[in-house]
Order: sequence, then structure tokens, then C-alpha cells
Amino acid sequence: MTGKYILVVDDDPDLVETVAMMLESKGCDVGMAYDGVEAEESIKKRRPDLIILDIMMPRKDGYVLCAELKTNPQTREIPIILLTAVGEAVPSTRYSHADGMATEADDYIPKPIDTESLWAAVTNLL
Amino acid sequence: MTDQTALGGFKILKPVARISVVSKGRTFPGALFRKVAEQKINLPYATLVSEGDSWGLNIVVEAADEEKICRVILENYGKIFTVAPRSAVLSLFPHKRNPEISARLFEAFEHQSLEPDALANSPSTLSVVLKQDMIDSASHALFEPFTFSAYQTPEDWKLAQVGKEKLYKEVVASYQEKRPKIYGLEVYEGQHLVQIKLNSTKITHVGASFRGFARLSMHLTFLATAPSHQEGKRILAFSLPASESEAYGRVIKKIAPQVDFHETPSVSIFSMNGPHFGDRYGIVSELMESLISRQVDLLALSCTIASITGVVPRHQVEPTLEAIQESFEVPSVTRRE
Repeated sequence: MTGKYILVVDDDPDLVETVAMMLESKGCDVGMAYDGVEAEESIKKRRPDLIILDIMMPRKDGYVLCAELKTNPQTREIPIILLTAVGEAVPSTRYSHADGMATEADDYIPKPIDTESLWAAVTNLL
Repeated sequence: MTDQTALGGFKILKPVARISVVSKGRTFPGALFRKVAEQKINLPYATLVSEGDSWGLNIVVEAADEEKICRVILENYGKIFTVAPRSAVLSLFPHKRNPEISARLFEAFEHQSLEPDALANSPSTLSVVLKQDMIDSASHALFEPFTFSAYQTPEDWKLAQVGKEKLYKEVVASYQEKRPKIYGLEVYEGQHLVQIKLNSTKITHVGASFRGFARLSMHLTFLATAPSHQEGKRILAFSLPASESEAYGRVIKKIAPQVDFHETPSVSIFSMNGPHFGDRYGIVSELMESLISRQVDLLALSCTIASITGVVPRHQVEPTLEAIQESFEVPSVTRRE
């Protein structure tokens, strides 16, 4: 996995840091963005090998960004793991796990995430 | 300015109130946080630092909870607190544990004559508590030493904030876990806890020391301020590698020879990040109760953004981890030197 460039997008900077540290410890190169618009800019500058994308973010949420990336011929091949807002812990939200699974993302991890499961999903897609 | 550091962004939380508390008693902070949790008061920011047999705490609550928390403290402990209403929390990220980021922030604030009332860091973010009327100057000041890819000017930043508050309240209000889950639990061993007592010295003046720490490539794993039991004084507490104690001691004495600093050797830092830990009531209380049950002597703690970072004596790190694993769902523990 050494040298693979992964973009982590979440509006919780502590979560981005946790995930980034985990990925860096596995030899990945990590980019960070804190909302959908910033992620879009980051992708234009450097194409990631994989994107870990939160859905519930300001400015442009993960649903919209995921749909845009998957309909753009230049980006649709980039694997996306969507971090969905949970079923059990957060039962009533428009960002539910079921809604997340209705997108074209390549994998879906419900929050609160388990970094081990996230890493398994990353290795499965790369 | 050409020598700017690229960062991810910053957030501002307002209106909030800062409550500063000083009291004695080993179990005092745990008991206080339990009473706060019983009233379902969210804690977007909380720090505590032990000073001999007393505790200094800075607690920030949303303005709507100001009256409620003051009543809780008053009814249970008397008038042991001061209140700074109309405050705000500015959080800058990511600092990558690099003291240079703190130093640059302090310098930028000093140029604008802005003095933080309190500060603390989480694993990613440096949070400063300011008076609300300083926030415009403070957010402008950030654009002097830092650049942000998502916004080039303070005006861009303001536009980017639309809808954020509503979004986070929607989720924070709805967490219903039986056992809170942690995304990551990290432990830093081989640290010293340094406490500097600030008299009339401003935090921003001491900031120059942080540039010295950065030049020596030291990582800052814990940073928090708290009120001292000595009236009018504050404590700036931070942790640095034990192996560098001589070097950082020289830096502090050179830059701020007049400051009174105290070291607690051989401490460990734990840092737990979980969903909205900095915004949900009861999380700090849960942790404090679990540490008390294992007789862990907590030395300092901060709860900001989505993390809680604590300082414990090195020989108590195992009971600390056991306590956390008993009360929280912990997928893995990462140990770092």
C-alpha cells in the first residue's frame, strides 16, 4: 500500500487526524479536506487513489460530491468509501446508513467507524 | 507575507460562556462533571489542571446553558467560580502537534493585541477561548501567518460557515449509544508535564518558547490552560518529551526567565477521539468516573472538538487504559513514544 494517495474528507478534524494517522502508519500518503468544496479542489490538484468521504458536511455534502465524482468520466473510477451516519446510535437523520447505501459509492462504513474495518475496506478496494 | 503556513481551516463557536472554577478535593472534578451531565449540559470545551491539592477548571458552555451550569455549581459548591459571558471558541486545524503552529498563532494575536482567556489542544486542533467581540479581529489575524485552501480571505470563510451550526446540532442531539464508541485511543509515553504559572505574563508572550520547541523538533501532545488557586494567576500546562527536558528547560529560561515553571516527570498522555465527544453531555463525566473507580490520579485533562486528552502518571497508564476500555468501546490502542 506504500505510496497510495488517499484523500480523507470529514468536517471533524479530529476524525480526519485519527484516520490519517492510521493510514500513514500503513505507508499511505494522505490528503485531508474538511468539506465537499475543499475536497473537490484537492482532487483537481492531485488525483487520489481512493477517497474516504463523510456524507454530512457543510457547503457540499458527501452525497452530492459522490454523485458528481461518479458521473464525471475523469473521476468515476476513483474508489469511494462513504462514511454514513449511523443506524443505531443516530436513529433519526437524513444521513442514515440506508440512504448512504443508495449512492454509487464503492463501499459504506457506518459511523462511529472502526479504523480496523475501514482499513479492511481500503485494502479491498486498492 | 511569503512565509505562511498552509492549514486546513478554523471554526468559531459562539455565543458561549466560559466558567472558571477553582476547588480542592481529589474527587471534586468527577463529582462536578457528573452533576453537569445530570443536567444534560453539553461541554464544547473543558480543561482541568491539578495544582498541588487544588484543581483549576475552565468550562465553556453554550450561552443558553450559562444560567443552568452556574446554578449547578452554586447550589452544590457555593460561589467558587467566575463567569465570562459573551465568549467564543476559535479552533484552528490541523496543528500536527507542531508547536510552531501555536507560536505563530500567539504572535499573530500579539500583533493585534488579542489575549486568549483560555486555550487547549485536541489531537488535530488548537482551540482558544476569546471574548466574543474579539472574534472578527482574531479571524482576520489568522490570515497573516496562515493560508487556508478552502478560503482566501475572512469574507470567504464567513460564507463557508453557512448552515454548519444547524448541521452539527442535528446529529449531536440524536446520539443514543448505550456504550460510547471511540474511533481512536492513543497513548504517548515518556513525557513530562510542564506547568507555567502566568502572573501578569500574557500567554502570547510565552508563545515565543513554543517556537523554540519547534526548532528542536519537539511534538506537543497536550496543551491546556486553567485558573490557578492563587488569585489572578493562570496555569499554562503542556507536555513535552522527557528525553528533551534539559533542552526545553533552557528554551523556557532563555525566553521567559521570569516565569515560574514546574515539571511533573514521567507522565503518559492518552487521547481518545469519538463522535462529537466535545459536544455531547456526559462523556467527560463517564471518563472521570471510570478513572476514579481505578484510583487513577489524573493530572490534567482537556476536552475540545471531538477528543478528550488526559495526563496521568506513567505508572498508572495501564489502569487508565483498563478504565477507558471498561466504559467505552475501544477498537484498538495505539502506543507512541
